[in-house]
Amino acid sequence: MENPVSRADHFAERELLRLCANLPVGVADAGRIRALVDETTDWEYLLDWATTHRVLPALYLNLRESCGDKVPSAVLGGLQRMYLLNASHNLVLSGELIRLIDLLAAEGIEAVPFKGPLLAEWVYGTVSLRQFGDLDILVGPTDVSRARQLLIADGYDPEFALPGKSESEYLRSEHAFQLRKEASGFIVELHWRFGSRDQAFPVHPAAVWERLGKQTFQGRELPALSPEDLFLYFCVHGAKHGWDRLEWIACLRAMICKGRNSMDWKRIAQRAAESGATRGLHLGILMAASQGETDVPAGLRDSALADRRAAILAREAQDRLFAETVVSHSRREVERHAFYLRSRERLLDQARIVLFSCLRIPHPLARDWRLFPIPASLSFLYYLLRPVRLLREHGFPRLWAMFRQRTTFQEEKYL
Amino acid sequence: MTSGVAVPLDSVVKMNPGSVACDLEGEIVILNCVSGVYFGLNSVGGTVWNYIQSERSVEEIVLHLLAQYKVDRARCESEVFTLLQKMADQGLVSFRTP
Repeated sequence: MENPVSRADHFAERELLRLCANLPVGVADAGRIRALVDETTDWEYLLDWATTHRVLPALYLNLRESCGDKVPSAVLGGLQRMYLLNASHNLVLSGELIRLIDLLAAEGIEAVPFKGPLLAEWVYGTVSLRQFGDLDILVGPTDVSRARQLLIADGYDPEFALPGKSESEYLRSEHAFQLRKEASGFIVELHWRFGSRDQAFPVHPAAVWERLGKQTFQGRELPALSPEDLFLYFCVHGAKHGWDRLEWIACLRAMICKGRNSMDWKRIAQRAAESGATRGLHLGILMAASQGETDVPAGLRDSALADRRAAILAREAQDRLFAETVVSHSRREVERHAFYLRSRERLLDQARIVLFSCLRIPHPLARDWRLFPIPASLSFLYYLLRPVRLLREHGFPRLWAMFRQRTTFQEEKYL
Repeated sequence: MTSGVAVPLDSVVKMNPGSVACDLEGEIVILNCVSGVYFGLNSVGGTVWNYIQSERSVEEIVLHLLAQYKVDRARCESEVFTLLQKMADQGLVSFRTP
């Protein structure tokens, strides 16, 4: 019998992917997964979106468990290969992470890994169940230059050179260095804060540093963000990226399930309120709830449900998860930034975001540093070069359209 | 039954640094980051690996398995010795006298 749900809009595949992103799935959802798979399932569509949303390991395990007999062997075999490759990749990255933490510690630099393998192990109990491509490491602001030099000496290539004053300029406005080891493909993001200046990120590293905990990872005790800080960070990080990845949503839900009884929810809500991240917190809770039951404490759940603006943002994010429309990277960035702006409830924060975003239009970004390596004494030229690059890459009409979109958003916001 | 190499029961098993592990379809896969060699463990081996995340004596490992699996002590000891010796050969663990 043909699946009763419409094939035209791939509703069944979307629902299948949403359910399969969760780990573990309950009995009822396993039954639903089985019911959604039939001979009309568009496997190519499903695999494309699973790749985009980085949920291949979960998709493989859930399909195998729930309806392995109904999945074409080529599809299940292909998924298994990707699952094994991802696990192998994650193991190698985990080993590299420990090596780097030791390398930095040997020079007296305390480094705090976050997201990536640690998050996978905390939430899912093993590093094999998340897809991640890089290693995020937080260091103190006074250590970051030295840490960067140590990684370069270790064979990592910086994304771009930062001569003289450029580095202090970069440190002031950005939040992380990206370094890559070509031979192995390792990518490290060395953070000194969680967001760039134009994001007015509400999770402050100085406060996080005072509340650091420990996490046992691969038999080692590593410094780690407290679960409460990590949860709030993850909520705001999701908002920063427009919650456009199913893996993040499923992972946040898994964090709630994992930390339901151990996390101090009052403290999370209090920190969010103090730092102007309540709407971001509500949005995160609503996004997680869209993946299934979350069992968030009643008070917090009720306040999230009552937050109309957070609900609108959650609906927008869900509607965009499988959007087929191809938009340019620049336009997507503007849309994400506008989404993030709306996820902040305090006018002062919104004003800071708008102000520093405007300043950033002529302000050099990582890409400008990479494209135009100029002497430190001429670093002011970046302010002239960036508009030139933007015009060259996007043309005046497109930039005008981006500006128009931002203006339209501002009008909508105050309606 | 595999015949294991005798390791004193009071020897303490210690994980060597430089190895990482993950669960893979119910089995444990360990990567020795120094040699680049992967090492697979079935569910019983995985139980041992998880148990020795903190230092344990061989005796403790045997008792831990006896409490979880229906197996006679002699066979359990033999299998544990074999497994630990293989792990030591791969550089994953080392032994120390208490």
